Amino acid sequence: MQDRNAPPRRTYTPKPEQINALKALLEQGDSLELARLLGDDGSASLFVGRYTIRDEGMVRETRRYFDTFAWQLHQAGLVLIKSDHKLILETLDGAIKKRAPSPGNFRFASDLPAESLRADIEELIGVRALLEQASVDMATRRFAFLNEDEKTVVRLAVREYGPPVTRRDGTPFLEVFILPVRGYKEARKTLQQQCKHAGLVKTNHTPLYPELLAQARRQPGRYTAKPDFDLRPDMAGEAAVRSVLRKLHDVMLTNEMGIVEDIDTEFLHDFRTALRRTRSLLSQAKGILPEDARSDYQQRFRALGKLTNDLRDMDVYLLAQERYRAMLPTDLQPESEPLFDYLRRQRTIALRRVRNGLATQRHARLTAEWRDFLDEPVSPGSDAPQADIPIVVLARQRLLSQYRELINDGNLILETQDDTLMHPLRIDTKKLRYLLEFFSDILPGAEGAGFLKQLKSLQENLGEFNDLAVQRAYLIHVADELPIQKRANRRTLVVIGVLVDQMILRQTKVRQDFRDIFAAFAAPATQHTVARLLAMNGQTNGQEGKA
Amino acid sequence: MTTFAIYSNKGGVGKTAAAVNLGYLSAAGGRSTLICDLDPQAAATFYLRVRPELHAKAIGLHKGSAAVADSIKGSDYTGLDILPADFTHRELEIRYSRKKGSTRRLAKALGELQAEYDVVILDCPPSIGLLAENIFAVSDYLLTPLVPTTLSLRTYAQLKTFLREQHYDSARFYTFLSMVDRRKKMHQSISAEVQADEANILPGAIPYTSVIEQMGIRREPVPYSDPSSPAAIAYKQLWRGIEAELLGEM
Ligand SMILES: Nc1ncnc2c1ncn2[C@@H]1O[C@H](COP(=O)(O)OP(=O)(O)O)[C@@H](O)[C@H]1O
Ligand SMILES: [Mg+2]
Repeated sequence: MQDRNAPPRRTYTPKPEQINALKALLEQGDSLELARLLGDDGSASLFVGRYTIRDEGMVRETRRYFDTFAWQLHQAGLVLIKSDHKLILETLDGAIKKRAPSPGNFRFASDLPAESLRADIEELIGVRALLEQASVDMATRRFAFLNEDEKTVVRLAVREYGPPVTRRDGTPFLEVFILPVRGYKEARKTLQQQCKHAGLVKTNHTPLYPELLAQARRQPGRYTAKPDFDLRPDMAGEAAVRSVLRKLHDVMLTNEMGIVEDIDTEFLHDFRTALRRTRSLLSQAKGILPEDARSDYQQRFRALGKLTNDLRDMDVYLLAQERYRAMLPTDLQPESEPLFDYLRRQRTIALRRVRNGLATQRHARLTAEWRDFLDEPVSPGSDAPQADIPIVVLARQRLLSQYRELINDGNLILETQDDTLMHPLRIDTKKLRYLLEFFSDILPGAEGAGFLKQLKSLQENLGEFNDLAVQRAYLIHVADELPIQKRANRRTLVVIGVLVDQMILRQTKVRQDFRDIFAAFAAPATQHTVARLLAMNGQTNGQEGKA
Repeated sequence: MTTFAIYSNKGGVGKTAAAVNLGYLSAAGGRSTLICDLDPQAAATFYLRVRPELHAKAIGLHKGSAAVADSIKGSDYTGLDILPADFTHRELEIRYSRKKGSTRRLAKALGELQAEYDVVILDCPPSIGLLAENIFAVSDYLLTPLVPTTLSLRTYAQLKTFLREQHYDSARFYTFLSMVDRRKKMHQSISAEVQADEANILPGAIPYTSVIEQMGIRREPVPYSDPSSPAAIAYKQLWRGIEAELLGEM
């Protein structure tokens, strides 16, 4: 744009005694008044006979600043701004990165216009919703300075922002700025001199957005779905476990509101991940936490997980709509609509169940009691025999035994070819993964030597295998449910048939890959490395440093 | 960035009128736009109220496209700049006469500028010489106004032959109807014929009207001075067609 090529915009703040005059100028747009304000008293003026001033009118607009709940744009140093007619992707220090015409209302990246803007934002925020984080009203009046050809050679604008009406340093949100026109340097310089002559103060204000956020007491970048657990190796087992559980509970609490308000699917996703990690850690905490409480909460959190299963499943199907459609031949693609309609209806039902469940007394009690339990000072008379053992020792034990269990269960599948064991194996991998995450601070080497990468690819493989199995079964269930009298639905049955067929093909491939991936994971060399990595940490046993 | 050359082998067919009005619409739609006035007559420069000034410093394509950038002037409209005529013309002429043969001088001179703007519109003088070859080399698309008269159709046919000889990719050649006089039977029938037969015709036939003639007096683009006039509507239709067909999403 014009401003892109022009020298940086110069901004001035009025002196206190100029504020009223400027406000009047903004309201009334009197060019003579402007000439007077700039010190043009008819004598010794830089302007006389050179330029005529034309009022170009006042424009009011509201700027709205968008980011996700997790401040993903802010973390990338960006913000999405919607004004009346355009969308602007700006850096936090106010430089324009991209712009596009405004699309009216939007919620997700996919609602945004202009491919390149959409792609940039989608990459940063994925499926998260864009929420309004701040807004400001602006009134701007522009004056054009015309040369003898009646050509505009420079502009001056007066702008007022609000609310709030003052910056944190007390200066008013009222400013004057010069908008240069490319190729007319002299006019710009003359106007700059005149502003100086008029006593306007050149400013270098911080950009608006951080100012607005600060005044609204919003703190960007505080949310994370993956908190740092910050454990120390010598912490007592029980204290360490409680501290991890507390952080996980924080994540769950933070996300509850977004689930209930149905802002985007990530709230439930993050909530469930924290919940699964909680359950996983509870199952590993036998002997570390008091047994009665441990098994009681274990069971209550299992119920909470169950409450949210259906909703997450529907989210997953609906998020994969495009992928499903792509699996179909083009002529069948429109026939998939009744299937997605059905899924959307099921999602509504599932959402209602989750909302109701989260609003119950039972859930409120779980939340309060769990918190109390976690905050309770560690009971000296604990019946848990391992409560006082340093966490690093317990972590090493649990990791090793979880790793062994995984190897045994996987080998059993290879021997028996029993695919029903694939699901429990997936749970094994998740447990191991969570343990590694909890204890990454105190056992930093445990993730090393490519082990984590191997674990991830095993997890992905098993995840895909199980997802395909579950989704296939669910599609067949949907086929049972669709009213067959409707003509459109009959074609949808064909759609389901094609999808199931595609899934079987894919599943066979994934199942074949499993062999190799697991073999690598269970290879004696890897087992040896893991044993060594775990042993190496926190305790010197003579093996350290040997290749 | 996309470069359009409003080009014809004939004068007085509405090239400059189109360059200025389309340039204005492009900028108004949010695309940063540069009009390059390549015609020594400097009509586009004049329409945008820019004065041809010749600074010694500005004469210097040999200084590269940085010197060219120095000569650019902002118009009265946000997002629309112009590279005035005097500059480009003299430069090109000097260069052509001194070192003959190269068809890529204009491309070199505009090189970095093209990257700076979303849309560059070249307002070309009627030429089939070296300048034309330079224009073909630098532009993504040629947009040729076609006045619906028998004579113009013949010149248009000659132009197509010329482009073929130049091995100009016919997929980059578009045309639109210009100065269509609705009162003339011949204009109507030829317009209908062209619209039916020409594969590369853009929508939006520009009517023959006094508002366009008056641009020389008002020195403002028609969609700005008279946005609801049939001429403005026709230019908007033409620009929308160009956007849809040649520019895609922003
Ligand atoms: N659609 C039109 N209706 C009426 N007059 C027009 C129209 N288009 C151009 N003119 C006038 O015809 C003359 C030549 O137009 P111009 O755009 O300069 O053509 P070119 O650039 O092809 O030489 C100018 O005086 C212009 O005002
Ligand atoms: Mg011309």
